[in-house]
Amino acid sequence: MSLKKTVAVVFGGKSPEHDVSIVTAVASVIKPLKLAGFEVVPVYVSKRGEWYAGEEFGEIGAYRTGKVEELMNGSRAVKVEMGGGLKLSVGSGLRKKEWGIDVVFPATHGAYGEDGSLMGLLRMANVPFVGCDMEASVVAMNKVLAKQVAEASGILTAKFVSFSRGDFESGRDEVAGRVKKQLKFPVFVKPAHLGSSIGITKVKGVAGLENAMEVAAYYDEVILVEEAVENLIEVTVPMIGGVEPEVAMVERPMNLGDGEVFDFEAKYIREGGKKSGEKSAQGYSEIPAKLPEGLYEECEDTARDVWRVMGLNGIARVDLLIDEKTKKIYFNEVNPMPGGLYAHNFAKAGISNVKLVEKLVELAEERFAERARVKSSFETNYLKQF
Amino acid sequence: MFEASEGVFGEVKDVKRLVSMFSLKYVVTLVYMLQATEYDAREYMRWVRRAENFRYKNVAVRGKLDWTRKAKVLAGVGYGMELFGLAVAGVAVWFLYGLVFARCGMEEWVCGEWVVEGVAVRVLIAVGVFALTVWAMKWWLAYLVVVPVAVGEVFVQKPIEGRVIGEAEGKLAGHKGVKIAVVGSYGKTTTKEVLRMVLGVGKKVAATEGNINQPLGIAKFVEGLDGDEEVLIFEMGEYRAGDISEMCEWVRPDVGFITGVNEAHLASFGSKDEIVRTLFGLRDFLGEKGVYLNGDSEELRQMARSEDVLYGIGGVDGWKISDVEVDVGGTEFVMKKGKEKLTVRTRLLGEHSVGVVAATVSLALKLGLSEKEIMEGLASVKPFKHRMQPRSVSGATVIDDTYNGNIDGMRAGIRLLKSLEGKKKIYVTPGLVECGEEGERLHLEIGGLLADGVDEVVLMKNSVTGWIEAGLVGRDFEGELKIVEDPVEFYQNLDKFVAAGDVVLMQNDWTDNYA
Repeated sequence: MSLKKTVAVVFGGKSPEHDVSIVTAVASVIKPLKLAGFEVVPVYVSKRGEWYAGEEFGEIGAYRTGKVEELMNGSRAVKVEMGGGLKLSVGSGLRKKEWGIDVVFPATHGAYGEDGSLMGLLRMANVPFVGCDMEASVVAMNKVLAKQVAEASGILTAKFVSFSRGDFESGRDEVAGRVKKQLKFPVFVKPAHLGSSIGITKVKGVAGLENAMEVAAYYDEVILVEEAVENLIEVTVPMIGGVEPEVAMVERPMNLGDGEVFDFEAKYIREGGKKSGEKSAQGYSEIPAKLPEGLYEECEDTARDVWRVMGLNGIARVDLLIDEKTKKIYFNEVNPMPGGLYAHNFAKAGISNVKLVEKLVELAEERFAERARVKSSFETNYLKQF
Repeated sequence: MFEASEGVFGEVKDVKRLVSMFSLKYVVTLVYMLQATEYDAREYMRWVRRAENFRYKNVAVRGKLDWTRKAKVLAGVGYGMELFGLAVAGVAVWFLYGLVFARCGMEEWVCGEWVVEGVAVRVLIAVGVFALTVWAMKWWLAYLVVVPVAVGEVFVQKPIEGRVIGEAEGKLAGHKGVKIAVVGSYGKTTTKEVLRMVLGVGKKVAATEGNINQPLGIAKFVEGLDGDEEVLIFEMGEYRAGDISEMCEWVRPDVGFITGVNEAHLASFGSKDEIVRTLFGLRDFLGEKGVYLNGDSEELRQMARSEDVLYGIGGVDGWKISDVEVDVGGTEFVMKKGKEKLTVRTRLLGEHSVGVVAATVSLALKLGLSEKEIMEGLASVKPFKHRMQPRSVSGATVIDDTYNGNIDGMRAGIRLLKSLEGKKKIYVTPGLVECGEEGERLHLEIGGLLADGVDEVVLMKNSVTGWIEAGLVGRDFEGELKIVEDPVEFYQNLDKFVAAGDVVLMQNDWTDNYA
């Protein structure tokens, strides 16, 4: 019997950001949770969607060397019990391992996780979990929905049109015509749901439009086309908190030269390849961002507004676009589970990685306790009358 | 009920201990610990009595065995003894069978009230006897392994030492350089290094390296001298009663520093008075010349005679000290004597560095160095490894003072931490080892000192943790207390525990024999 709280960290998953999720989980979540004194159960969801659990899945070496395939072959899939809290187990008989889970830490990025589906499952299981709740996750991970919510709440966002993959496939010209009519070039073409900038193309004129939409349609059922913000300064604002957020540091990813999109490769791979050690976007960032007079605080305020109107909770990162000339700030998108928790940014703001995960677990429990106060049963004589 | 369950745990622990003695690397573990205790038989035996686990990986947490020739010989002897143990056990079983079991028939053997029936039971008894004998041998081995150490010392080390020291004595007698001896329970290495750096600008200086401070090491250092050095600096360690006087007899120092006194190595000396007597062997040798005494230590101040020179935050040799300023970049102060005024700055951290720096400046002037040379020397003084050594970790300033091991250093360190600017002030320590009966009082005091002005206290869990905790609680500590089970893991992942703007002071580290 241990008095330590048990935290299940769920990561991997059927998402293009599967690998990023592994790094986030192992380096920025599992390790600091252990250092903070929690009992940690790594729960790995394979690219095929099977769930595995056990200490051995929490080591980065297993994924680097491909040993994970061996581990998966050798272990049974996780069994989930949801009566009165969450219980996970693997194996059976004498070799059965069982964990009663106090808190779940979803460390998934993108589809089947960050997008709200995992949060729905965890709500059904009646277990506290870290980060944004289901509704906020759904909105946040759908760029179209997020922009609509922002717009409806009076938060500025770049002009856009959206359409389904079906629309595109059945009427390419009609869709392209709509874009031309409603938007000014250059535009960005994006898959609505993906994070880590996968599948995004900047299009300068009509010529490249169809190609770009095809790329986006390859990744998603919903496609977003939006006007590019001119005189662009891109910033990102990580936050932590409950109903009211605490802003870490406004960070400015630095311009990369030719590639004008801060894409997946730039975010996660290039840096790792070039220099030793640093793997994330840190090396390309300015923290705190040096912005023209007053804009820094305005960015913080806008990010806080986004947090409130979208009902974000726990942790999130809001990306903003600034037109340096007009000084206008546009909401771009929100990331309910930033890669690596953006621990480097929080550390600059005075919150260590260990403190960050401790705080997130605490916030998860607070929200859970708050929700428990909501009356969920209602006596009726409906059944008797039936 | 509670007592009963404690008893059960006690037994489980004993079983674990016993089983760990059967690991293949048992001998390596013993040799490692001999090396870790610097072949100090008493300290080693204390560890053997206290150890709960003899598995190499559980014991050698902070270091690993350095396969020196001595270690190899000892491991060889150790494994030889193990083989001998197995042979003895074999013979015991053979005797049992031959002399006892064979005398009776296969069906039954009666001895008084005992009846031993059947082959199976006999085999069981035989196996039992074998295991017991092996175990007893293993147990003896833990102690017996010090015998070759002692034998080696008497028949190999001593004669070699005698010869090398004899040669060194001869060489030193003809050496023209000024000989400075540095002794003390703490602060020796820092004092020696500051002297070396500052005097080294204007003079040809040689000093004993690193932690070398025992007769053989010092004699080898003398062996390597060119002969034309102008200043020689000797760090002398105290390990047993009277050894400093013995070293002085052949080193024949001209100048002496006594840097501090505390209970370090108390167990080897028996009493603190004996430690004091041993350290003051240096002053006895210097006689009317007197010694430099660390005046920041109340105890040493009390013992000063008129011919001694006290140095400390209050001044040295007529020099008055003022305007002391400390930040993470170093320490600055002003020295004044008559019309002379010097502004001194070094990268050393803390008020406790002021005294030794001032004493060095004063001595350097006496030895004829120019002010310019002295300033140049001071500029090159930088913090020493694991001694108030600052570094940046994830934007936090981490001051590594893990080589500290005394209460005065802790008091000074805590004072320093409180005086520094920082978003969050974090203090990390396992506490002090070897305080004897003073342990409780000293650790309560540390807890009390930390209770205000420090935001987070991180303690490495061990036998003194409770006292520090009680000290914190007693003074209504409102910050955060973290108790760490695995210190090595903590140090390795420090970057995850700290954030930008934090100031972290890490003091003391327990070596494996105390873990």
